[in-house]
Order: sequence, then structure tokens, then C-alpha cells
Amino acid sequence: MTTLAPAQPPSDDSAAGTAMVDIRRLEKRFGSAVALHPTDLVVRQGEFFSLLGPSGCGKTTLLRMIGGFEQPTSGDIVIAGESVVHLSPAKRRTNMVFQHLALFPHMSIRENIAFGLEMKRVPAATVRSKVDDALAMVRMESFADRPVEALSGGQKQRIAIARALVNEPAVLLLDEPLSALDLQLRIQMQSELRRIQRSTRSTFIFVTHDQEEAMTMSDRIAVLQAGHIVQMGTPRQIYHRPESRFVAEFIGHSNFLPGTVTGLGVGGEVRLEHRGVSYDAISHRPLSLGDEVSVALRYEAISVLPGTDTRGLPATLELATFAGPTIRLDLRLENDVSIKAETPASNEPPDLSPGARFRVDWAPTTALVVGE
Amino acid sequence: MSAVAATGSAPVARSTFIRSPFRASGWQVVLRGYIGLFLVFLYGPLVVLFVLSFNDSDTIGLPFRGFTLRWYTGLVHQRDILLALGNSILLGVAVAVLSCLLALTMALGFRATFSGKPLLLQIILLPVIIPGVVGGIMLLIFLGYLGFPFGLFTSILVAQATYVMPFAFLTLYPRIQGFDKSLEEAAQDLGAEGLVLFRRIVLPIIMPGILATTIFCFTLSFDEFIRSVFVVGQDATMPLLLWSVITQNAEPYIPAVGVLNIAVSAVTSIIGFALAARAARQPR
Ligand SMILES: Nc1ncnc2c1ncn2[C@@H]1O[C@H](COP(=O)(O)OP(=O)(O)OP(=O)(O)O)[C@@H](O)[C@H]1O
Ligand SMILES: [Mg+2]
Repeated sequence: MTTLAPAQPPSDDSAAGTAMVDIRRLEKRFGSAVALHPTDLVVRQGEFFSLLGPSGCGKTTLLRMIGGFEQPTSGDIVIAGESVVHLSPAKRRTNMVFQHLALFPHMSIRENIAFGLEMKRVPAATVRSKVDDALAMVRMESFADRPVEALSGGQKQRIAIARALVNEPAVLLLDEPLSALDLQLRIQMQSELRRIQRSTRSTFIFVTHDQEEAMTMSDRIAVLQAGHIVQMGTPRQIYHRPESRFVAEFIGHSNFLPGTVTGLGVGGEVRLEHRGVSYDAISHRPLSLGDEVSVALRYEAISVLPGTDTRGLPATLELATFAGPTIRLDLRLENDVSIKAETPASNEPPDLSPGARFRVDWAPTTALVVGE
Repeated sequence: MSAVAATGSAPVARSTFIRSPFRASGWQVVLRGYIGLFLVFLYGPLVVLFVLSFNDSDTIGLPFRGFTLRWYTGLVHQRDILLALGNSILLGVAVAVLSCLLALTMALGFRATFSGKPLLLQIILLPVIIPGVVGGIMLLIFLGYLGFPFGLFTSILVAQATYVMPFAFLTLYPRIQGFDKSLEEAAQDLGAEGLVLFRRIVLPIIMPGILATTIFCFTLSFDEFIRSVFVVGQDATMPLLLWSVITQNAEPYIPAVGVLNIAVSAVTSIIGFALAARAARQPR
């Protein structure tokens, strides 16, 4: 039996840097329902770490356990070397930016930001200067004495971040803080958050269900599915090396092509066949000849060539959809498998009528054999 | 030319599309009559009372024999009236504060989940459905057995507070139930716990509700009669005194006392609304 050695993933997932949050076999059940299966996770000092996953996968539950708002069923949470599971939120060196911000409506902006420091009995003069610094950091100096309701959504957002960060938490927890904002503001706040995180060098744990947001902002991402972390790594690793069909589906847009293994190379190259059509892919896991597999292939990894070209596989156009910067082409291969491709609008083929003949090609390294 | 034609055709179109089953004019007369009667019975007595309180006549009633303020100025010498007014106000404040505090603590307790919660809720609200007369008799018997002293700040306070408290609970509970829990979590996150959290975050935010409830309780107490009458001791409240005056001999100053009572209620409500509005704007 021919078995292929898996290609080694780049090893920056191992614990380089000091661990700021160390989560050990952490589990949460609500009655009989499991919100988080026993999970291990290390977030490093100064890292922008995202928890990414679809609704109900347990992101908020995990974040709230770190913040102390939810008691774990079992397992341990160590923050800056100290186990915190027995500590109340008030005693933890974490601060949270809540999804709906939870600014205190009866206080001015300055009072909101000062609240945490007051609770720690910081002298008034220090409070004042720290609040000023925090306001400057989120570029809201001129709003200090306004009431909360006199702010726009994005401004409230900044105040919520300032209110948390002014306490210089060891870890800042953010639960989908941008989800209520419109797209424009969201993109602006994303880079703002990133800037703040870089300048304060603090550790951020950021919950989102938006893969693009996680991608653009994070140093590392943990993808959650039904209470499990199914993959953890840098945005590039997650994008280029999805380890399961779920991750490939969740991150970006992928085709899933069926195939039987008919040939194996030493570097993980795989030759596949499906109803008379053969194509190349790559595998990072051991495979044997005759295995039935599924190959993830991103829409944008496919080059659409004229029907007269000799490279790639012949395909028939079924539908072309204009999407601004790109054109989405729904094609059908000769083995009756449908395949979608995304091509820059600047590269628009002249004939986009249904039935038009094309050829589709891709670099074998972009076609990834994925487990289910 | 065409504009004239267009405006000319509009009423025709309207009359064909909107056809009332009633003759519009007849229906409107009925409606107006109904509203008129409603207003007469709502405000008529008030106007009559007001007019009579200035009537220069030794018997209560019309005709109007001339304007006088003597029923009002004369009240200064009616010691029992002034005393009853003072009693009612003091008692009202005591009842309002007591029942509001009780209702507040209960409403706060009700945020937790515990077994038997629905049953306890029913028990708390039970006094609302007990008829006043029955409630009064029950208290009379019960307090009598206990040898409880009958008096303003003893038996009447108990009678009124037990009656008013469920109402206070009913107005406070939804406000506290609807309190945004994430505000408390945010405060905990920032280091506030226990009483500090309650005083700095929860209390200021629910304060308008508490004020409005207190005022509401005061007005309930201020004209509570049926329960109080069963457990009255030496001192009378305003409604009790008025009752005894009117059943013995209808003194001509009674309309003036009535207006005075209305004034107290009105002023309380206005203060209450003003406070609540201000608290909502700037609670600190
Ligand atoms: N207090 C609770 N009681 C019972 N079940 C809960 C509770 N909180 C969360 N769950 C369940 O735990 C699971 C994970 O919930 P969680 O809120 O962590 O999801 P999420 O990933 O944050 O989703 P979303 O993106 O929708 O916010 C869900 O199935 C949810 O129904
Ligand atoms: Mg959530």
C-alpha cells in the first residue's frame, strides 16, 4: 500500500512567546447541553487572538468564562500565571467590551471611563489624567463631558473600548463589538482596534462570526464548531490550509470536488479521478490509492481560460454573475460536477452566454484534500 | 382647463370609494353627545365642588349667593381637619416609603431563579383581589386577636401598607425585570460588587421608577378608606374624618376641604412627574 507522508504545516502554532491566557481542559455544560467541549487554548502576551465560528458554536460562552461571567463545568483558566476560575469578574485582570457596549446611561462619558479606576480607589488626579489619555487614544477628547446618548454608534464603541482599556487589563475581551455597526464604520473601527492593540501592546481576545473581520485583524484565529476548536493558526494558515471541510466552507468560498486517488507523489501531490475527469491536488494528510476524498478549491484560485486553450479542463458556462470587482462564473465540468470560479472583472471573457465553452485550470497546490 | 376638470372630478371619485354605512352627520351627533356626557360626568362634579367651595351660603348647595373665601380661611380654626390632613400626609409618606422599600427588595429578589417563584408571585399579589371590605374585616379580627394596638402608625399603617405594597410591586417589578443585566456585568467587570454596584449603577437607573412608584403609593394611601375604617384608633385620616363629618352633619366647609384634598393629590402628582422626568434626564 502506498502511503504518503503528510506535508508539514509551518510551525508557528507552537507556544512561542509567553502565555497570557492558558486554558486547560475547559468545559461548559448548560444542563445536558454542551456549550464548550473540553478545550485547551493558549493566548500569548500581546496577541490579537480571534475566536471565530458560526452562531451558537460557543464563542461567547468561552469568552464569558475567561471574564468570569460564567462558571466553567470543569477545567482551569490561568491568566498571567494565576488560576482565576474561583475569582469574581471584579477580581480578574480582564476587561470586557460587551456586544451591546453596556455604557452606563446615567453617567457622562468621562464618568463612564473613570468608573473602573474609581472602583480601584485610584487618586482623583491620576484618574483624570488616565481618562484623558484613554480619550485621546480613541480620539474622543472633545466628547468627555457629553452624556452617553449624545453619541453615535461608532463613538459609543470607542468609549466602551476606552472604558475597558483605561484599567490596563492583562487581557481585553471583545464580544462581537462591531457587529452592530454599518459596513463603512465597521471597517474603520477594525483598523482603529488594531492600531490601539498595537500601541498598547495588550492582549486582545476578539469574538466574531465574520471570517473576513477575523482574517484582517488577528495574529491568530481559533475556529470553533459546535463547542470544539476545530482549527487554530494564523489567518494565512487557516485560509490556505483549512484542515476540514467545515473550515474551508466557513472561510471564503470554496468548491468541493469529489475524487478517487489514482496517483500519489512524494511531496503530497495527488492525482484524482472522477467519472473520467482527472485533476491534480495536494494533501497534507496521509492517503492511500483508491481513497475517496473531497478537494477544497477556492473560487478565486481558478483561472478561467478560453475554450481554445490547451491547459486545464473543459467546462461549460451555466451562469455569469457580475459582482462589481469580480465576476462569478458557474461552470460545469465534463463529469457533470459544477464548479464556481471568481475572476477579476477586468478580465471579463467576451462571451458570457450560457453554454459558452471555457477551460478551467488551477495550481495543484491550491486544491486541498480536506477531511470531512 | 385640464386642471379645472381634474379638481372637478376628485369629489366624485371620493364619494364612490369611501361610502360610510352610516349617515356621517347622524353618527357624528351621537359621538359628540357621548363625549359631551362623558366630560360632564367626569368634570361636572369637580366644577360644582369648586364653585360651592366659594359659595357664601351656610348650606351646601346652589344657588350661588356670592363669592367668599371664608370656608378656606375658616379651616385654620378647624383643628381636627388640619390634624387629619397632617396625619394623612405623614401616614402617606410612611406607607409609600415602607411599601416601596418592601416591593423593591422583593422585585430585586425575584430576579433570581428559584423554585416556587410563580406561586410566591401569586401570594404577593393576592391582596389586590381581596375586596376592601373583606380585607378590613380580616384585619380587624386578626389584629384584635393579636392584641395589636389600633392607631395611625400601627394598625392603619399595616392595613394600608399591605394593600399598597402589591401595587408598588406591580409597577416596580417590570422595570427591574427589564433592567439590562449587561450593565451590571459591565460594572462587575470594572470592579464594582455588592452594595457599591447597587448604589452606583442599579439604583440611579431605576430611580425614576422608584420615585414614580412612591408617589403612586402616596396617592393610594392618601385616599384609602375602606380598610382603614375597620382598624381606626384615636386619630383619623382625612377620608375617615370627612366620612364622620358628612354622616353627622354636612358642614358647609366640606367643599373647601374637598378642593384642598384634590390640591394635595395634584401637587403630589406634579412633583412626582417632575422628579421622575428630572431623574430620567440627569440622575446624579
Ligand atoms: N445560559 C444558557 N443556558 C443554556 N444554554 C446556553 C446558555 N448560554 C448559551 N447556551 C448555549 O450554548 C451554546 C453556545 O452559546 P454561545 O452564546 O456561546 O454561542 P456563540 O458562539 O456566542 O453564538 P453567537 O454568534 O450567536 O453569539 C448555544 O447552543 C447556546 O444555546
Ligand atoms: Mg455570542
